[in-house]
Amino acid sequence: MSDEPTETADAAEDGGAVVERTRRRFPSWSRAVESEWFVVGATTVAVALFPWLFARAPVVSDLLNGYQDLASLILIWGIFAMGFNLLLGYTGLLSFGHAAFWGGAAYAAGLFSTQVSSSPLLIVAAGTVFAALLAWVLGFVALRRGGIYFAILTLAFGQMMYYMALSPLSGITNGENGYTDVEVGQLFGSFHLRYPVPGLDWLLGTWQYVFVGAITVLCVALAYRVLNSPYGMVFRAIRENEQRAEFVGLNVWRYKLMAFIISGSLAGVAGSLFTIHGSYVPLESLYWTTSGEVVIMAVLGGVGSLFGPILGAGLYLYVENITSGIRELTVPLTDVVLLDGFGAYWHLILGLVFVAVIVLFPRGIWGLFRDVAAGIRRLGGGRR
Amino acid sequence: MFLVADGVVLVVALDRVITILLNGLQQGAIYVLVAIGLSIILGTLKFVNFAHGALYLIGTYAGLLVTLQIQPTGGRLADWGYATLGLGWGFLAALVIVPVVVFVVGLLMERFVARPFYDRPDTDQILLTFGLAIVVQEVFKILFGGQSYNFARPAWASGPVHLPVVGAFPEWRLYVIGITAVVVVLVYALIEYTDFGLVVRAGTRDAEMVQLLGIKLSRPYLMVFGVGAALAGVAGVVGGPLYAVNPNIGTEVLVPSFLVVVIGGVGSITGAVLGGILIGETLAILVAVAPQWSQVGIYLLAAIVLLARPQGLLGTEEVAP
Amino acid sequence: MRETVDDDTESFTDARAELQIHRNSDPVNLRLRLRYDYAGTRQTDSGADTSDFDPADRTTVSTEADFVVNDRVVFIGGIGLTHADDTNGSDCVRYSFREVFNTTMSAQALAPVVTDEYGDDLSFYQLYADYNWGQSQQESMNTYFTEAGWSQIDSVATPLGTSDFSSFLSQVPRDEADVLFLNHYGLDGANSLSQAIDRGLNEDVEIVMPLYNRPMAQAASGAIDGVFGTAAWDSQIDNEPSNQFTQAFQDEYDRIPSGVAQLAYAQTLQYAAAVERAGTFYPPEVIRQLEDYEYDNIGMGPETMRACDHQAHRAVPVVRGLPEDEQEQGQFFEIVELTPRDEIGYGCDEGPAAECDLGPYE
Repeated sequence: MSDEPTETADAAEDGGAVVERTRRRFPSWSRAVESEWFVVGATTVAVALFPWLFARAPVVSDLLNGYQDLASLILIWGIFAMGFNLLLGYTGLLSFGHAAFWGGAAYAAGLFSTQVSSSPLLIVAAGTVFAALLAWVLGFVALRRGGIYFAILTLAFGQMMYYMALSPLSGITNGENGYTDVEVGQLFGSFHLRYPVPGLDWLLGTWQYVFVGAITVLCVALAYRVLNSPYGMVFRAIRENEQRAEFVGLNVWRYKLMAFIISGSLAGVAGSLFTIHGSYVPLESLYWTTSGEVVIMAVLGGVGSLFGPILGAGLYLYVENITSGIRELTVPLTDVVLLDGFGAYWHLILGLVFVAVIVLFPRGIWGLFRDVAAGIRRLGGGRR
Repeated sequence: MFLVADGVVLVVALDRVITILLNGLQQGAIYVLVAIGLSIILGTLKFVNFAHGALYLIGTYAGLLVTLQIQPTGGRLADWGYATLGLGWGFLAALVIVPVVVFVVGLLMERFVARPFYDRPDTDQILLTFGLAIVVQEVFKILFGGQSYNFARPAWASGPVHLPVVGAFPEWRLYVIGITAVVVVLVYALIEYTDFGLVVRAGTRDAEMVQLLGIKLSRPYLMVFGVGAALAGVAGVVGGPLYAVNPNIGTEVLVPSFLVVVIGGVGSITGAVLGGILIGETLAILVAVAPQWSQVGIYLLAAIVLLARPQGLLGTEEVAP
Repeated sequence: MRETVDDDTESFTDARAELQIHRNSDPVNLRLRLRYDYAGTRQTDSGADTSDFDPADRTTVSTEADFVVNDRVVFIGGIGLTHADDTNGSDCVRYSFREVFNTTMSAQALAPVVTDEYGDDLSFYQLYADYNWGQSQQESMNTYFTEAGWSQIDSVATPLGTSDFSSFLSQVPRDEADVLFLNHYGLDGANSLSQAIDRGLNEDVEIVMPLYNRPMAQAASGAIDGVFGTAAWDSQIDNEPSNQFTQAFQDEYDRIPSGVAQLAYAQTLQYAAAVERAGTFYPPEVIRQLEDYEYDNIGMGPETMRACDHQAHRAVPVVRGLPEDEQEQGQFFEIVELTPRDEIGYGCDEGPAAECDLGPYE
């Protein structure tokens, strides 16, 4: 990683441009860290170890109190948050309607599973294609306006989808009950998603996790590649200064639309996986609070970095599912109760942390980690 | 009266039509009050306030507590042994006190939340106020519980009043329309006919020029925020008795109010009034002819207006790029 | 068992509560989870203890069928949405039991009481929430009140997400209709009832709320005065087990238990007893013990958990809202009648039960 934070460090983060990295102290290591193979490899290892560490490893898992199913869910929301961040973090567009892609894909995937095929891969493909098309249509309309209008327009379209699913289309969507007829078949016709992986179940758990994990790695690789392509450079240029990008002769609107479609598609991948994960599509998946949740996740974790939003998704779901179950907050190792009924405060605490992050660390927790790491390295004499 | 739907001529009784229009007017009234505040803050200060719904929420709970005495049955306050809460001073007291309270909340919000973020991008303002809205909502949920309270209409205005042609109509809802109309006229006069209003309008056009002329804008800005907040407070008191009161009402009123702002045009008071009435009537008419589409309809309306006329129906210029 | 059963109005806005009894990996730890869903707002919140609960999904499961089968837990529940006929009719599953009555039974219990009070040959108008429960409820009301000699003028669906019912209420033909059924629940019910009273509909027609719950009554306050309905259980039911339960609950939590609290306790006890009889937690065995079991539910008299559709056949309390000045903390209704189970219900080959196919034990 960078041993000398510069003005451009932020632009070069993670998925960042290799161009900046010429004055490296240890070029081979740094370049290795930035290389696609390293990123994909490290992601694979992390994804593989995660459920074990979270749910089964001695000591660690006891401290974390995690469980297998939450591990899959974190990856799924991680993909969603990562996709959302491609838009907010790299082109500076804040969408408050991403639930449309997540929920729309979830419904499309669910309907596809009953009507056409129950193959998990095809289900994900169907949901993703639907989300991509929807993003193309909505983006075409919403991107005519920028700034706050974009936020409100996406919010309006998202809510419109929600109310469509709730009432006029309830014959298809099953309305407020959510779509319950999801049928998930076997992966490649031979692996039952709910069954443990033979020999590796201590590490990975079920086939479902393998499936979700593999797609997560693929999505990370894809996002990394996009961000490091000329396309990704243009996205960042738009965020930094839209006018300048326009003057250089770039068709800013088209690039924005492309960013919107990629972002929506990733949300669609995640939404489809969510359908497979729960064998159920809740109506709430289209509600604007879902859009709000992904905003919080991405910002908490750190916009403008590839892995920040995934971290944010993990943190959010962890607090929501594990921390919310803590009844009493006690002083560690004693019985002194600081706060009774602690679990009920989880949403408030997340809200406060969210506000604190925006005010104090606009680059999120991931950015904070990086700053701290850079600081330590400098103290350790990184420039010797 | 005749209505044409799907090529079929329907004879609709006049009293039905008037009732529907009156329902729409009343539903739009609350949105108008909330939207005017949002709109002048956005227009003058260029500040996007997603926490405006939280001000409505504060207004409603404050109104409930000034008007009545309630028995909290959930939440921390009940756990801490508060068997009854509230002053029980009646509705008129609330109508005076609550706007003042929320005005002060608005001043604090401008000073400590908005001002440090004036130079940050729109997206940061949205994110910050969105976070703040969550915090406020959660605080109320923790204190008063997630359940709904009954905000009884004042005794002198509860029950129906018998109008000519229309028949029985809830008296309280007429008051809602009346109070809204009075408040709107007052705010309009404040902006159009006072020196304060002049500075505000000039600031909306070109803040830089106003400052070059040696006029300090920080005080008018503070006032704008306060007035906008107080309007949300009025909306909270007036709208509170219409629905059961719970911590979610703030966000529920916010989203349609944003639609009102963009339909009417940012910074325009008459625009907010027009937008609010349009949304209210759309809801009321769709409920009468195609209830399933009523909610979809208002979002569709907003999208169409925004695409056909980006600056809103009565907006003069675009605020954001 | 931990002290997790609580009527927890804290996070209870309304609509539906589901009780789930979950067998954890550690068989000694029975966990009971109350799940609340705010119908008016479409949010979920886990109300009671969830610390050791492994929530297989964090979503709202309203038709719990698929959920239950997938996770192989025995589910005994609930009220609200699961008050719909389909739950133990066409959507029934082997792993789900329902203690609370359904829309058919509500209508059966209401019809004699209401027709007795308001007279014969009347006409009624209905508004109903446009989803599974509302549809089911209005259908049942129509069936049993028509059977009792009344006639329906119209039944109008209100889309979900509506909090202002004034436009619907203004369409009620007040000169023509004698009675108005508001098939709304929870927060929606509180809003529609208050707005109906505000519109003065009670001057011209009688209003009936087929299904009450406490948060709804609390939010509607004085509007429920004199309005008939049914409730899962109420602390006003005056008999030995009911009073004992109310007392024990009050000693522990300092408040009067709601119908949901009674359901939660009663069903946890039922499950525990079934496990004891079975001598195992193995679900198929527990299920066999629950099926066709006769028991005394807290204050409700004898009941049978029927094997053919897993629907409890039980008494239904018909209640009437108290005027505001007689309402107290936790007391909102007077019990008009505890309609015994012999007067309501249907055979295994009739009504919703005819459509039920429970599926295999394993």
